[in-house]
Amino acid sequence: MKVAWLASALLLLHASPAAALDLDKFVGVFLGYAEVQDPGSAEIMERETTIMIEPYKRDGLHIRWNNVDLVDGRRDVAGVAYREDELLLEPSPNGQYLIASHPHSPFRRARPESAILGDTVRWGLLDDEGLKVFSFVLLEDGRYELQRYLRADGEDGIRLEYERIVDDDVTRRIEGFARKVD
Amino acid sequence: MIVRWLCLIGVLTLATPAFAALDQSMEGRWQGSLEVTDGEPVDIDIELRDVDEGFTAEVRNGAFALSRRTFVSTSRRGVFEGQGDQGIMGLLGIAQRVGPEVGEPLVWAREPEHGGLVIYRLSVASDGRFALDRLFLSSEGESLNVEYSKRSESHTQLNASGVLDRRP
Repeated sequence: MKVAWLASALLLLHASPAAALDLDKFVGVFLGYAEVQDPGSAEIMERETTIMIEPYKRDGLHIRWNNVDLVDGRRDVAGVAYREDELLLEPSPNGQYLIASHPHSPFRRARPESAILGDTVRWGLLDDEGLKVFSFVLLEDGRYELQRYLRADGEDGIRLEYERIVDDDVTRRIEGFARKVD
Repeated sequence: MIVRWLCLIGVLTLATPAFAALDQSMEGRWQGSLEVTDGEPVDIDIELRDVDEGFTAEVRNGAFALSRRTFVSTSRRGVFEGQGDQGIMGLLGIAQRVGPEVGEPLVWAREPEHGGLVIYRLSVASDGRFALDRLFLSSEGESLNVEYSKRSESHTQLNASGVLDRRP
């Protein structure tokens, strides 16, 4: 009997999520600058970025960001592009990494998310390099697009790396730095 | 009345995935060796079979080992879904979440405009790291050209290519 209880306890321990990921160092507001380059093009585009990272639920993250693509180093002239987006991440079922959270909304379609039907799949992980977030989508013709974001912990801020890959070809690279503000 | 029936037939035709057949020249069993960039050559054995709803593919040996899997047409032209390992919860439709991000590999295939067949697999491991395999196949007479790449979370990429021969 004791052996059975011990076995059950061991099984429960094994099934429990791992210790929470240490995400605190990525929480805050970060203002930064990045350079955008598309392979095959000599042109380097300048981008200002604002990243806001807050805790989400238990051991998750709410990441919001906005980007301003500058024209000749300026943001007050014609041709400047602005984009904002957000992502909710919650612990994966085993607690070892993060998956995109889809809070219930009455306006969301009823069918479950389906990668094969073109719904975006997002997940992330924390390792020695930093916080990595991946975004994967199957394009209409069956090719894939994979985006990889790295936010590496640095002194007074985070180093930013981004890569977009379409069917094995890297189509965009971004590198930059964002400083944590009070 | 006839117009209504014609409309209904039209709608049903549009709603039904077009069952594309496997290119006959690719059907069969193929064996050979792939040259691996920065590595030893690997033997590989690929079997492709046409079936009613699409095709089956099986890859033995090599980094892209794939147990026999049926690929069925989707609503997207030239795109096939690999019938997956959903597990009992997924099959019963009571899984809270299914998809590559929770450990169910996404396997699919497409027929490029210029011919051939590409088979893909995206898997996310229990620590969140991913592996993305891409296997491009194209036939040429009694040979099958193979180009394989594996991309992983840590940027490392494995490339391999070779020409396989048809086997009975």
